[in-house]
Amino acid sequence: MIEVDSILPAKDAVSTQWFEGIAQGKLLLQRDPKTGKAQFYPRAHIAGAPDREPEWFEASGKATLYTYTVVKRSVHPQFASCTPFTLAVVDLAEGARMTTWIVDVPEEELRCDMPLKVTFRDIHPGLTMPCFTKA
Amino acid sequence: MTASDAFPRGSACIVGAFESPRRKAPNIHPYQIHAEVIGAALADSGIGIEEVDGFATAASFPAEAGWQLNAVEIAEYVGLKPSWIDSTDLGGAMSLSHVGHAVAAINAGLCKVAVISYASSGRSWQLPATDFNTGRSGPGQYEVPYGASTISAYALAATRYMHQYGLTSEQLAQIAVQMRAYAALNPQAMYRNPITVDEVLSSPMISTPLHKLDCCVVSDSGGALVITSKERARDSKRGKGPVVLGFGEAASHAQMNQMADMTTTAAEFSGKRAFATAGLTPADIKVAQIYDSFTITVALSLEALGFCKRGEVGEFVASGQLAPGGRLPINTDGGGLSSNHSGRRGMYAIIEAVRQLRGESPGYQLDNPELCLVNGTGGWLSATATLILGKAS
Repeated sequence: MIEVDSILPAKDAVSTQWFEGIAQGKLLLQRDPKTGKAQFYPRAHIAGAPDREPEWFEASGKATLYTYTVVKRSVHPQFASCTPFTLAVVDLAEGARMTTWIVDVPEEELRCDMPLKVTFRDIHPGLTMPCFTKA
Repeated sequence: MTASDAFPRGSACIVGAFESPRRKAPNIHPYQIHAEVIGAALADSGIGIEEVDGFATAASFPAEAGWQLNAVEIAEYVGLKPSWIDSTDLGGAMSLSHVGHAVAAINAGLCKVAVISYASSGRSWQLPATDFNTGRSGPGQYEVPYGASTISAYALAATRYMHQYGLTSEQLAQIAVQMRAYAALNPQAMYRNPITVDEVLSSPMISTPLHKLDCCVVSDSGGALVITSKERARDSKRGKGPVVLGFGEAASHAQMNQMADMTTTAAEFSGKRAFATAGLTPADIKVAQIYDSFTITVALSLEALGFCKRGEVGEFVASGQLAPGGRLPINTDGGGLSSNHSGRRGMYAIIEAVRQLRGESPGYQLDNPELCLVNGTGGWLSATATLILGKAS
């Protein structure tokens, strides 16, 4: 097998701003200056309106659990060493949806729609990412 | 005619079809399988390679060994000189798109005989069958670090659907059990020993709620189709092969955080369009090939296509509607769950539909079906394509 690629983000001009927020303990989101609608993931434009620039703002960190899966096995060495971990998609209070991990919640307590709050964790060596835990 | 039903219904036929019997092919480059299946599909049609002027394929998955210009390279390797080329890439649904596009191209006079091929050594080729949904730059950098893999993406949808509608793991397992029962009849199927619901539920948990036996096989294989106009088909070896009556395709999302409703798929749109272009409804369809990368893929697709109401697929499955004599036997060769899935199953699903309509299924053959629907799902419920094929008339 050829060595599998790194799983660390390959940052660009837009994502650098988002990751700088994380470094300051902030979960940043974007919104449409015209409609106020929040968007995730970050882009240099509004999805569906490529000629309009979004504005950044700090999210409250409140969310509900849309769905999750407890990953028990992974073929990727980096993630195999993390198993079991809880991959999730959460609905942020501001209206956008993001992919994340749920941390510090036992498997039997996980429920769709449960309230969550953001927490920042070093999920890989050298990488801090927003995760969520029970509110 | 509205845009949604603008499709040259019944103007082209599938006159050649071949699924490779290979399932484990260590040290065989996927391009070799392309050549094998194209040769066999052309032999099945009785049309010579010199008549082929259209070609569609895609080989962007690592185990397909394609690089830039992969359709061009595969044409070169096989020795095709196409003047109509399509490399639409909808993941597992791609071969269905290629059929729909080829029918339109033939109808428009862009080509006369189109070959569509697919091959992958998902099991054995040295390149890794990547576990990630997307790359780690651009949109993927917000998802890849969390380990969103193909299996876990489908598991996310399964968790949400089960929460909303009360579908059980036992009901999902029954899908795998029925596909294995069809595979038991198919000498070429990868796994043929019958399984029980308990065996599915006690197989290793991969990503909750999906067990190992909720997931498709991983094979090395390929397949090819030959498509031509109804007029040219009359003089081919197979006569008027199955006709393409309806077609639709739709894209939904790439990142899982962009999927608006994880309890349904883009088949709501591709299916609706396929039925509209064919002038048919779900009630007309008595057998179908429904992409089964995972048991949940089948469950979501059956509802999205309108074979049962939203929230009712668990009961539909539990009451035996997918079994012989049920409302809708599906994946009559054993499907991806038990027969063949080398990375993108769409091609094999089309081939099994052709075999059903010819009366040649290697698995469970229905008594003289008039129609067969094929639904392909690509990526992580990202894109779908739907075909409705009819028996030659």
